[in-house]
Amino acid sequence: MTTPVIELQNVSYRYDSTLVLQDINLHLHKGQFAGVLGPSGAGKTTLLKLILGLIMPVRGAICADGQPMSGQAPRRIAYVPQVESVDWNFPLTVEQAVLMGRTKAGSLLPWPSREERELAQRIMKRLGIADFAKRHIRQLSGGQQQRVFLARALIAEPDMLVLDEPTAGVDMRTQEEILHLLTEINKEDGVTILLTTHDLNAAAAHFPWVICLNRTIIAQGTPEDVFTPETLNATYQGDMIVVRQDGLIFVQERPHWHSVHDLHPNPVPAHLPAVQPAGGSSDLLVEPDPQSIDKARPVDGKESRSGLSVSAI
Amino acid sequence: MDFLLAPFNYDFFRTGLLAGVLVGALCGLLGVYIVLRGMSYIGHGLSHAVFGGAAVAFITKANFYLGAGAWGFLAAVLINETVRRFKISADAAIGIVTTASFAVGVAIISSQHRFTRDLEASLFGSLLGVSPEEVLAILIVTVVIAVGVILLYKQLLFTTFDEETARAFGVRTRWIDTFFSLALAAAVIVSMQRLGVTLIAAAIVIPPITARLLTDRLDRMILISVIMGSITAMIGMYLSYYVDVASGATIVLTQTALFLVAALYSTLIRRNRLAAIHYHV
Repeated sequence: MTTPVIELQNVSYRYDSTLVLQDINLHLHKGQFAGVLGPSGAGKTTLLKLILGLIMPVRGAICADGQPMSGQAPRRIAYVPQVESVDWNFPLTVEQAVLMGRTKAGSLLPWPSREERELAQRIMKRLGIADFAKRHIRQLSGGQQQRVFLARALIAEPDMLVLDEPTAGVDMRTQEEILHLLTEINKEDGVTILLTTHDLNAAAAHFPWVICLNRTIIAQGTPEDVFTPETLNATYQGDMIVVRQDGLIFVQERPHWHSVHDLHPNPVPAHLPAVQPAGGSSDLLVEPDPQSIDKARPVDGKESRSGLSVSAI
Repeated sequence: MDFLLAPFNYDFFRTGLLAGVLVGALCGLLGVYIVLRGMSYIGHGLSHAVFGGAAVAFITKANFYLGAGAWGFLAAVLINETVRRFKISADAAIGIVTTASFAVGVAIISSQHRFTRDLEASLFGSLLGVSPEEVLAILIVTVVIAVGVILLYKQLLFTTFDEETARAFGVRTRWIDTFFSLALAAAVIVSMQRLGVTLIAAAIVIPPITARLLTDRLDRMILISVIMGSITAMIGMYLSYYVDVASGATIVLTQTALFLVAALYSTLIRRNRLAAIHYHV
């Protein structure tokens, strides 16, 4: 058994009088790809900050490469914070933002060296943001801003990446792209990856190792082992439905014994606008039939209940 | 041409102008970081706090820099302690400590029944009475801070943009913050007599804000802010000489005029860009 890159032994942390994390025991090994899951306020970001050395535990010990960690952040770990955590109006171009990752490693001169600029160029190309190098950071989409932060972390040439909600606030396609990019970085460069997410389905589909956190570690393991209604109920304090099909896992919080029709028994009637096709044939007008909509609606709550219980098995 | 050169026959104008230009550049430089950190009123608070010290130094006939410096340091400690012990927010603590300190200064002046030139200079800024020692003090502070900002440029940039992430990347942000606080205190103390307690905040805020309207890059923002700070100080000093108005007021009014021009310019540019986009669409 090799020495873990990061090891937490009985770590607890409190803000003022609130215990945020309690008795955390965690090993992360070189090349591991792990996701931390849990509801808001579960202590996910606090756990990341402890690992980064930004805060010190009130109890327990944290070791990096077998050595107890001191106050200063371990050099070989790079951090990707949440995109919303900064002011994107800050006067900075994409390239300058990426080069920030060389602050510690670079010279005392205020400008970057040629090698550093070439390195930045290569990384931006890999992440698909090279075309925006000279643009102001505000002119990017959420997914592109996420890539800027990722590029800034990669230019520090880290052994480990710690990412806080890298898929928050982006559309599904961008989320997929970012997660595949991280998988590639993990596989090809051997970079250890630890990230937080609130998206259980993305975690089930992309993470080989998940850590369910709610003040303490509820469970950790592969999604196949960990994603059971019992574990997820304990983590989210809710009623979770887990569906397994064709090697895929889907998770959904059970609606509170209602369908949309229970919630809205008499919705304000709506209809689609009539669309005139280019040909102009009036036969092809699309108009919904209010009768058919009505028929599609279940007669009572029983149908939807039985439908849900089937999928819960 | 004579209009520009005539005042140069006077010794006091030459030293006053040099002091003004250096102070303008210094405030323009530090102002960029202050504005980007969202601390625009720190200069205002600090100068008011230091004024109490200046007044005490005046009645005890102690050295101005020593009195103002020690008082400023004491005010900073008091602010920190107030926040820590009474759990009140930093802005409220700054409000209490700095205005109380300013009130001490006002109390001392009003009890003295004579409004001396030095103290008037501390309040409104003056072109007069700049000693060669003062120019030297301003020069040393400006050079030290400029060299510090150049050497710490990358660290300052990262710390200002995102303090916590900078720390995670191994930047010693506490040292950076300490350097910044010391630099700011020193800048306020040496600038006070030229700009005046009440107007120093404007000299710290207006040039960087104007520069921000004109550029989207930090390096250019610093350059524009420093140049604008020193040029407006120069214009302000001439105005102060010819119109016989306190130099703090003439400098700040010149900066305000430039800010308005830049605001108008950036509005027009933006409108033109929008028009161009509509045209291409």
